[in-house]
Amino acid sequence: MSGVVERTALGENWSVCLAPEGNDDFAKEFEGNCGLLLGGVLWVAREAFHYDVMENLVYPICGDWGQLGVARSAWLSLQGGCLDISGNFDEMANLPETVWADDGTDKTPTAFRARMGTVAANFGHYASASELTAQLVDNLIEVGKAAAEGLSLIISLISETLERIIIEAAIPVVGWIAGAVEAGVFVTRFWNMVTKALKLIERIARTIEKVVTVLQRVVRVLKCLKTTLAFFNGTLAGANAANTPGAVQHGFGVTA
Amino acid sequence: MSHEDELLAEARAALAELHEAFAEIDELMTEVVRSGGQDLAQDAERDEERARLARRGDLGPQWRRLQERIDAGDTSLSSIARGHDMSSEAVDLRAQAHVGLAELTRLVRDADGDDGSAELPVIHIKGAPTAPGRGLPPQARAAMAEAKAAQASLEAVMQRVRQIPVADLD
Repeated sequence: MSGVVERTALGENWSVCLAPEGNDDFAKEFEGNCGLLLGGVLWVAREAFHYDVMENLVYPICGDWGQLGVARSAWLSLQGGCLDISGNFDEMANLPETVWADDGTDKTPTAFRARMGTVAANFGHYASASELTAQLVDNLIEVGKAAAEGLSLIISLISETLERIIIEAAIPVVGWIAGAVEAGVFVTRFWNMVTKALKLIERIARTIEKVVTVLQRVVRVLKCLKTTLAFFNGTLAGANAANTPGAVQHGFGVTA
Repeated sequence: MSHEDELLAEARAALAELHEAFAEIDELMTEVVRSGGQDLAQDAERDEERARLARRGDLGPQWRRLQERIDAGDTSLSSIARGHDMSSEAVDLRAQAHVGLAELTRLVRDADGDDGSAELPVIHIKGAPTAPGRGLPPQARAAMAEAKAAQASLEAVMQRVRQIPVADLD
């Protein structure tokens, strides 16, 4: 007679599920770089254009992206855990006949196997959902990074423009004191760059809107995992993963 | 299709949208690099002309002295503009820049709310021939209006993102 053996030690995956480290907090570096680029010229935009470049173009994407990295790792751990559970139930669905009465009259084996098969399939589904969620969060972080890189370039061009405005304002005779058309070149350039930066931020904002909406629905379904996991591990291992939609909003810096 | 399968399909669609976002960001940045390159080329020409006038003394003694120091590699336009150059001529030019900026501020204020589609404002002085006003050119006013529209559009999306209810799943 063969005993039920836990095929995979669940603790391996659940323990990292609780507090995985994230290293995706690129926003701090982005904010620091933009601060350096705009140092000494930011006042020009405030004074001449009544526009705060840091406030409008830098801070919106300076949320807690590191927390999102933590959520991604949590989802990957959850996927691993679900696959393990699925595998374990699959093993139980395939227990040899010798576990049950060997005269063929016992109906239990069929019902048991069917139930174990269903549970295994369910956890297979959860694993897919967790993997997809991890991919979504992962790609969202990458989109955030790409947007931050793009914005850095735009901010450097805005900084050049503001520098140039100070120089042109200091040129007598041929500067814009002599003609508004000259000033128009730099006004146009400044606002065109601001528009591009705003479009870039809007693109990531729309992406986040979509991702948060989907995650919200997916996580709601996965919520039942928390009960299941508590049963298996005695802890609320899914906590980090369940907080993902909020973490996405925080990543964009739109929540307090 | 089960509810779970539908959700997985939605998640896959969201993933596809993320890939589209990458493509759109790439496209936007290609345009930024192109127009930024054109601006830098124009600035190089402008600098050449300004340096020529400065060396001849046409822009005044301060610019002449600063240009000598720029030519000697002792300072740069960036150092002058950002306030790193504390020489008396650089300090004087920055003071001059404040005067010029006050004029720019006025031009920008006058153009606020104007999308650039109208004719330039015209100044009517009794007894004098009608002359065009010294307003910003239409493309500058159009750029201001476009940025304002982009800001409003972004704020609408941000507002929607903030309002997505994130249920307490604990």
